[in-house]
Amino acid sequence: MVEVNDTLIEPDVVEPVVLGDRLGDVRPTSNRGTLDETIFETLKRDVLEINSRLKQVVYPHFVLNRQPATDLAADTVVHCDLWAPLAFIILYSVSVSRSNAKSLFSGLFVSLWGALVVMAVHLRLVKPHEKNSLMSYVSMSGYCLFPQVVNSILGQLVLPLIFSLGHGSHWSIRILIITRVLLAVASVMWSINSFRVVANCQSLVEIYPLALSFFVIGWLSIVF
Amino acid sequence: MTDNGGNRRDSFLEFDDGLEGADDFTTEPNPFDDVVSDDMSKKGKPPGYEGTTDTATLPPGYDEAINEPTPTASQPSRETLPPGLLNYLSQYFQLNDQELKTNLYDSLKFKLTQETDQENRGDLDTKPDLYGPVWIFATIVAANFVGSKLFAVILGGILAGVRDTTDTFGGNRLIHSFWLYLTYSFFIPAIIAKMYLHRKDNIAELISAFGYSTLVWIPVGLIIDLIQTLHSAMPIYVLSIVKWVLVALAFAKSSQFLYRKMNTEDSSDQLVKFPIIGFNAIMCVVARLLLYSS
Repeated sequence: MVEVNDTLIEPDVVEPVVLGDRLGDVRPTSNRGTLDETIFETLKRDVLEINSRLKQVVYPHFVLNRQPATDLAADTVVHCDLWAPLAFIILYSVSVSRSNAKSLFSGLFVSLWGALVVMAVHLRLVKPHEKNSLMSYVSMSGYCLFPQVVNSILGQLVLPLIFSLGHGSHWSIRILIITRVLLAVASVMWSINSFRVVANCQSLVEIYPLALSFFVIGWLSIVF
Repeated sequence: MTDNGGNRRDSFLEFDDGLEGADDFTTEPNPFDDVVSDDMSKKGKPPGYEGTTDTATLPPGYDEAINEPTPTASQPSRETLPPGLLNYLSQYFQLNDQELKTNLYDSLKFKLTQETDQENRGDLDTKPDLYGPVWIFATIVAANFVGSKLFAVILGGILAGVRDTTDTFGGNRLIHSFWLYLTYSFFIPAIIAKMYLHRKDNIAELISAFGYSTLVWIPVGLIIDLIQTLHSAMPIYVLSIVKWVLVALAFAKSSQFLYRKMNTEDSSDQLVKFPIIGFNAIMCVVARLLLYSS
């Protein structure tokens, strides 16, 4: 009887080495395993992944920085996820509906998803020859919601705390509202500019619906 | 056009057997290949003719086609789209800024001329778009939503420094204006066009006409909201009269636009033009009572 040496058996298929992409240590979603790691590690990796996407899409395009799109368009097709939109929408809805979360949160949550879908359908309709899918446009618009999240947290949670020191005087209310309005205007401009660059929108026909949607979203943080 | 193979000699043809024959002509250029040379563009033109296009050697019609812009990276080639609802609808959303501005201006100006038949209409009239109706509708809804609190925030919060204690944020008005203008701008024209009009592309054309006719409601809605905020400065009945006057102005402007669009020589247009104005009147009264009643 022939004795088989197990050490000589080699696998038929060699697993391809998945290289880390240019976002750093972020690996494609399909390659990651979450069973053998702690929840903290999983969350940390997701947050870092979202942050690396924000570095590409949102951070460099603050307000009036008219930097042209580089190779973002091709990259956003490959990397589209809905985790960031979900997280941003929940954060926005929670912070804006703090006065009456029971009745407002669900309406805000659904309305914001509706706004993202409307923006995505708009881009899909005016740019039918682009290779971006509807879902990638939803992802892009969700990432561009980040300035609104910053606005809502500052305007609804931080500023009221600061201005509560004024004991409700007329001037403190005036300054609070003016600061909120300025903050909302800056965040809306930031969102529009980011989306304009990442979706390569140039004409008024393409940009106006995005501006209208972000304006209404920004208005919510003033009015509540 | 063929390559200039006649002028180029392959190595195995370049032989000479010392006898008279056909091979004596292989090293000479083919006189028939140089009638029109592909290298014409590379050759220099006479002084003063550098920027011109030589159309003398081109077939008729090429001089028009040669001036058409070539597709660039930002303007991809217009190949046929695959089937799908969004791809089908995208044909109604292809317009540039200038066309949009022209359409918007056309819907606001006071001009009461009769539209002629379909063949004699201008390019913009024969090309209905749904971009305008969709985003005019969205802007009206947004203006009604934002306007309900905008002036209160400016006058009460910023100027007077008073905290707004009311719980309303315009949610009811948002929902009411959404359903009202959605029904009026899309459902009613779609039903009318489906049942009565016989033109090609009649549904999109009628929705486009209805949509652009509602443009006047954006400024009218904001003015009514401003007046509503200043209600303490005038008696209630004066406020009500002013609102009715503004709604009547909006009705007059939108009806004039709809009448102009539907006043064609087409018999089906003639049939529906007055019922359409009737629907417009109903919508104006409903908007006054539902959205601007307080």
